[in-house]
Amino acid sequence: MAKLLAESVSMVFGDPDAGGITALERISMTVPDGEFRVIVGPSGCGKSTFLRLVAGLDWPSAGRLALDGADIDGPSRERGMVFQSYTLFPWLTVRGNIEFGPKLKGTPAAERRGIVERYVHLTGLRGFEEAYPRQLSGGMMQRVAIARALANDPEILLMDEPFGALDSQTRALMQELLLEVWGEAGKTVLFITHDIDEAIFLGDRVSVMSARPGRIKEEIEVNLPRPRSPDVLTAPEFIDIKRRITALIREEARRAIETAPPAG
Amino acid sequence: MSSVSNAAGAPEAAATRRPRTDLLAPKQEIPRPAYLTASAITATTVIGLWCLLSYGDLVRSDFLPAPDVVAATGARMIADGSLLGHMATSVGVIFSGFFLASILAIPLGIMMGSFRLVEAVVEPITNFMRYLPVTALIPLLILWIGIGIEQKIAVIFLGTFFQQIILISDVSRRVPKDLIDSAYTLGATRKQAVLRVLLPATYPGVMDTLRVTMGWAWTYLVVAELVAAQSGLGYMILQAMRGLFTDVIFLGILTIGLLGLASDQALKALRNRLLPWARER
Repeated sequence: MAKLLAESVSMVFGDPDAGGITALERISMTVPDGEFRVIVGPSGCGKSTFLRLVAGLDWPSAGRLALDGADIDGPSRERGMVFQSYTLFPWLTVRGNIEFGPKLKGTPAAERRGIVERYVHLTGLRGFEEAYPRQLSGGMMQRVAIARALANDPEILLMDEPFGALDSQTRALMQELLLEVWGEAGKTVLFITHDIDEAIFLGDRVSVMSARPGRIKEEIEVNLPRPRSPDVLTAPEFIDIKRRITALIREEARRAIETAPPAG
Repeated sequence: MSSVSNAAGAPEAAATRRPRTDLLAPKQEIPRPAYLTASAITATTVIGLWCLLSYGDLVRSDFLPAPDVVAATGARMIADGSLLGHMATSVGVIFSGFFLASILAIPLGIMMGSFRLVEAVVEPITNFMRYLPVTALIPLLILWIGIGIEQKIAVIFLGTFFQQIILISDVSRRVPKDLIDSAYTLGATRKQAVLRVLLPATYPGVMDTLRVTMGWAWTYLVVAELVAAQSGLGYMILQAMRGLFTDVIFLGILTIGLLGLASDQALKALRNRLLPWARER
């Protein structure tokens, strides 16, 4: 069953008749329930724009987006999001951040305590419940951000390069942790990255995007067994998929550089 | 291999090596004693220079009163209650003006920084007013609201309000949009996003603005008490000028400086107490 459906979604910034920029052109995509879908593409291809449309934070110029058959009409707690930038609320503790969503919808305190307990455990944050964000490292802040989004029990988890600002060691650990959490929580995930290794390591299926205008160029199935460990990075199937995606992206990145308008 | 044998060969040297302290490296912490010593040198130099010039009879005493004369005047005016009276008047004027300015400027500034419509409405006035010296408005203030205490409060108000609104709108503008968007994706309504996310995100910046503008409010005090005052530290200084009572002028200046310092420290303590999550070192 289709969890998320995108039909010919286009996004134009500015006036289409007067040099408006087409960020997305006729994006169509079906993400089944429970799938870990990754969108990979060169920077500036509009993948973040697409995620914001799914989140309901922006409105598409044309096309249709639906979750569980219902049209997406503005942001909602059904579509939780983790941003690349650190977006924890600095005036709230780890606990306060995680229970922010449940609190908004009026979940009773006792139940909230259980929810915090569960996701603190799942994301390895035990002992940090009462810490403020400024006391945490970048990796830990993103773990709290993931816990915060999941604690709200969304239908789909949207992730916009959540590990983009982390160093490579932390990043690798966070990828493994995310897969564990995903296995436990059983949510549909839509994950954006420009890192091909990350895309293959995490995804059930990888949508490769082209740049200017952003289109889905190809969808590649990742048939690597789960649970996945870092060993998978050197498996022949992994290398195979990586070679295919790299070729697609290289072509795109080159085209993006050559057709890019002057900076400014 | 070589690094291993090095470490084994000279363990003492490694253990006793102290970090190099360079007092003139930019952005570098310096030892606390060095910091305190430097500060103490400044203070003693200023006081020493004062003593030298006055006790050494290098400057006439009606230009520069000696420290003990100022201290004696202070003791006398504290004893007869007149200094406290002047202080009470001035503190009352400063706090009334500052409080009125703050309760209006905080909400208006926050809205101006985050709602484009409010910005469009308010900006033409604030951008004009912020460049006007308060002194230029005093004749109008006298004409419109007279020469009572209201006029003095109005000077402080005008001196701080427009600066506050500009600074606070900037604080509000710098709240990352991603923070608001996160709240939306967690199910917040627009009202909840404003009240539970935008507002608290501005608190540290608002407190910093209050601290800075409180300092500016004190600098307007003498100007505020220039016209038809009966009491106040500014009035006290202006009166003393007529009789060339430099000791009283010095006392007034010192008192204003100390009160300003005290209010700054109080606001700093308040910030750390109210906003432990944004505590300053």
